[in-house]
Amino acid sequence: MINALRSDAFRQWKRLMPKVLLGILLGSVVLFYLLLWATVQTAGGQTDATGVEDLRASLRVENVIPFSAGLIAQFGTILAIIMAGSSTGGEYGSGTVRTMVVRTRARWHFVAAKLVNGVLFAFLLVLLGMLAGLAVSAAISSSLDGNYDAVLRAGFAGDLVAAVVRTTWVMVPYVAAAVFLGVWGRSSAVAIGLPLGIFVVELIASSVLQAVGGVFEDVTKAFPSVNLSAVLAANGQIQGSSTSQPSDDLPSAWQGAAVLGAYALAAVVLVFYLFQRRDITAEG
Amino acid sequence: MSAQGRLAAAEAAGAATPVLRLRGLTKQFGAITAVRGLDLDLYPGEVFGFLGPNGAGKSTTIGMILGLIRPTAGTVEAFGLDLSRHRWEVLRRVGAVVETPAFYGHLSGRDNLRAIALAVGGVPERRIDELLELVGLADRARDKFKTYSLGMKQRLGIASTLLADPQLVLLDEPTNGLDPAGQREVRELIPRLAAEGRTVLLASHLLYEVQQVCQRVAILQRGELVAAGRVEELLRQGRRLEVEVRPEELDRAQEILSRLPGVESVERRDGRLLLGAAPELGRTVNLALAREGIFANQLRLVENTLEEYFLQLTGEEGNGDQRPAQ
Repeated sequence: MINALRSDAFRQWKRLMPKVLLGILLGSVVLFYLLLWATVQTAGGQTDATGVEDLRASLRVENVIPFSAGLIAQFGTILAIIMAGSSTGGEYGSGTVRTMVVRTRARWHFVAAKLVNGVLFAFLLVLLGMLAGLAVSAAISSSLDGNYDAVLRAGFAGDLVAAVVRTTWVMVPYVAAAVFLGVWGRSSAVAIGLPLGIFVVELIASSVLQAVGGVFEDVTKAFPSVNLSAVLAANGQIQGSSTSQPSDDLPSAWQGAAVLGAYALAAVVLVFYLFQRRDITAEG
Repeated sequence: MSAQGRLAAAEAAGAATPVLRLRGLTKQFGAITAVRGLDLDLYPGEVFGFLGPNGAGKSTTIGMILGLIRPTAGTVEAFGLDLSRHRWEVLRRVGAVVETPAFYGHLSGRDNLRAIALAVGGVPERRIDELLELVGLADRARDKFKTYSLGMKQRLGIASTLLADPQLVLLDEPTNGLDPAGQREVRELIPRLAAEGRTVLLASHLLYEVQQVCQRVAILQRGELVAAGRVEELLRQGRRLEVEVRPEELDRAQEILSRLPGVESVERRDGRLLLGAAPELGRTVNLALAREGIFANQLRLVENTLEEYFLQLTGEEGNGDQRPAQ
């Protein structure tokens, strides 16, 4: 298994794509912070003072964990889908799936390597994105009053690690779906397009159903996006954070994590089953 | 000992375990039977030709040998091990290029080999350099695969098959896209692989190439084995007597010879008569014609080329034998 992982990591890291995707995420985090900061600075007292103050508070270093995590979960999930989907579907497009599968100790090692490396890439996106958010928010706090008490406290590093793990966890079902759909559709387009479509459409659908209320609202509790929000809401429950409390309508963080885990598990089971059983021919 | 000698010794001993044994190998894709009940044995150190027109089932068979395609029925046994139960024990001793070599366009030739070496494990770095040197790609090793010509891709494919020092090498159209010099290099490389004790399965439609390097061949048509055996034995089956007489005597000679016992067929070709008859019948043929006052200008034994034998069996036309003019 280690051999398959090393080989896959070597092949993927030699591509331009992971570096570009990391660059996009880091650039987006920094840009987003700076744009909001510029908005706060220029808005001054002209608009709703409470809104501006809330925004200013979100940009401060004590709120870096919930704020950056929310941002990264949205951008990062899209980028993680693109990476995992292109990595898996691309093997079919180029025919290299045949070349590599005969060189792996067990057939399933090939997809296992795709899944593990897909999750590791998501973890890297989240970790580096959080560190970038930390750096920018620290700079913003410095320009305000130089108060870093929130991050200098004992336990901040633990909260940061927990947030990185939570934020990575919410991406796992989407990464697993991208790998599964890459194998199922034997193409990058399917592997990237379908999970992205689900990600976007499901966000809209859950908003609509929640607005309708009643039994429709209850149905959304099974939606990945709602459970994603439930898990990410836990990032705001840390000492020093001034973000708003999570909605009572959301499932608990543990319930959310379990539902997302179930989705990921389903995708993993499907991809292993399909890959083990299906022939790999010249057409894929 | 030559490859021919090793093969003969292995067969004579009767105890040699085939390197590869296919029994009743069958693959159905829906209603289409791509391979039907295929039985084959490959012995250590032999170069085995695997022939068939396009769509005959060669690549499907190789796919099943590599565990890429699950057989509908039958077994693949290599090195005495059942592939379905000992996949890695078998595959780590097999090197293969299936159809067009598929590598990563964004990686250099060297990095493509390194990626495979990492997956296999335990391949020393110097082995990559040796193989790049062997296939003549050392100078282009750092260039991206996507910039390679088809011939260079084929060379890299051959290098990749040898990375893990395999005992069984499966080559599917290895000279496809190579220039004549490159084809010759590959033809020279294959016997060298066999001389090192490897068994080579060469799937090709270049029958001249197969005839030159293979000791035994199997011919597949529509998924079924239609012939298998030593090349010289198969060619011997197609031996015919060619009789040349004066043009005005051709009709009468044909009539006489078609009545002669032992002559199965008489066919006219380019002003000559081709007899489906045992080579030993030459004297009788000569005598029969002489009794009727016809004296043959020439009477000689004609041996099929592998291409002619292949075409007779498969009924395929224009299958691209690139035998040079002789």
